[in-house]
Amino acid sequence: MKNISLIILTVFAVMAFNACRTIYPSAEVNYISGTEQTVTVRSVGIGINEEKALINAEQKVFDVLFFRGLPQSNQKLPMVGSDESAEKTKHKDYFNKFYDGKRHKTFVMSSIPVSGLTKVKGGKSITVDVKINLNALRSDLETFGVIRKFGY
Amino acid sequence: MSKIKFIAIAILLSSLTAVFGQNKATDSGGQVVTVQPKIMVIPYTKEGEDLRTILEQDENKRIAIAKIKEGFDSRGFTTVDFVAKLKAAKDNNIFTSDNQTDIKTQIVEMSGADVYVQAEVIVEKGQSGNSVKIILTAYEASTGNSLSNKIGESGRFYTDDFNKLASKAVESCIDDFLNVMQAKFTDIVNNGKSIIVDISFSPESEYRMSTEVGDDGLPLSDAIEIWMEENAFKNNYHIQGTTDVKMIFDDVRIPLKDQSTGNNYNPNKFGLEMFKFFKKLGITIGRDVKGSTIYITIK
Repeated sequence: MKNISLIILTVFAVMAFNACRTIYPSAEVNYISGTEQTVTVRSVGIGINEEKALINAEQKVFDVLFFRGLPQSNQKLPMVGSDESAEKTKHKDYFNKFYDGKRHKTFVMSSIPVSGLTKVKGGKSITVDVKINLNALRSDLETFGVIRKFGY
Repeated sequence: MSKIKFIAIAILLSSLTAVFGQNKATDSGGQVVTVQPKIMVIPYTKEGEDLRTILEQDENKRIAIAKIKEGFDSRGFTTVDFVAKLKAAKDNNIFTSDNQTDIKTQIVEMSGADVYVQAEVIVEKGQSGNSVKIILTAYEASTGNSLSNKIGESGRFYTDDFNKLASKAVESCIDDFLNVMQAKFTDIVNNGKSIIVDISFSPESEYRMSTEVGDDGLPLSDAIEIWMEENAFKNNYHIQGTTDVKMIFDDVRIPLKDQSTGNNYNPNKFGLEMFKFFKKLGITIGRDVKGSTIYITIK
């Protein structure tokens, strides 16, 4: 009886620890090509099925553009800011609609899988070439007050 | 009796509003739009090159400048047109010297531009193809602070269409260039705009920087610095140098918006605060504001 209690306690402790721990997924977003108005990148997404993995790959691209910046591209600096949790809290409605409401899709010009679905830890993985309408994305962020318009 | 008093006060208040209140035709109901910097794109000139004709002679430079302006337009920002200003300057005969640097300075001053972007176009011809490089630099006109620097390259192509190559060179770097500029603008919004304060004495002045002033009997230069310490935005200022006859603050930060009213703030308003400070000390000053530089002359 004592042993069972100990096991249950350990399981709960491990679950609580995992719930508190923040896991930062690797971006795995690499620049391919770009123009003044668009950027094309290769991104790796993970999900329980192909659709979820594809969405994950696309959303990772926006995460990198918003909060990290993309080396070699014209968007080397983050579009929104480096502190993603502060920015996401500040503009909660916008980012909820963008990610959970899948509004990000309106800025994806093309999303072409370049690999098959492979089994990985945590689900299935897919590699996708994603082309983003950068100009429209910037205008949208400006319109909704997430970033300032050019100038003061 | 009290009724008469009430009417008199009402009339007085309404007349005061008429004198000091905002004209109804221009009253926005308290809305304040931030005054934007004026930006002008100009070509780079080497020593001895004629700025007035260089654009007319070199179409690659014209294309590069048009392309850069297009980049600003795509961000919804209107630039001051250099060619139009040049023409106006010619029409008004503002050029008083043959020195090219002076002419460039004169145009920047005449345009009232806060920021100017200089574009240098380098054409390279080779057996493995031709290419165009472009060097873009953005400065704050008054302080010379660099805002953004980028080099764009067209890549080598077997073509003599240098116009297209110039265009490609600008395209390769303009977005990045504007992003860095915007990051600097964000810094200005958060930490204030940089201005210069130049304090000197008129020849007949009885004061010097070592003259003891005020109730504390502090040397004038120290009294000025203490005031600056208290009044520069976020206590951010830098003294270039102090002598007995001159004191120069080469970087004083002022806010873009009045922190109490939310209205736009400018060097002239900061100059007014300095005027009040000197008046409190019983010192008469002359005050000139040119762009982002305040010249104070102690009389």
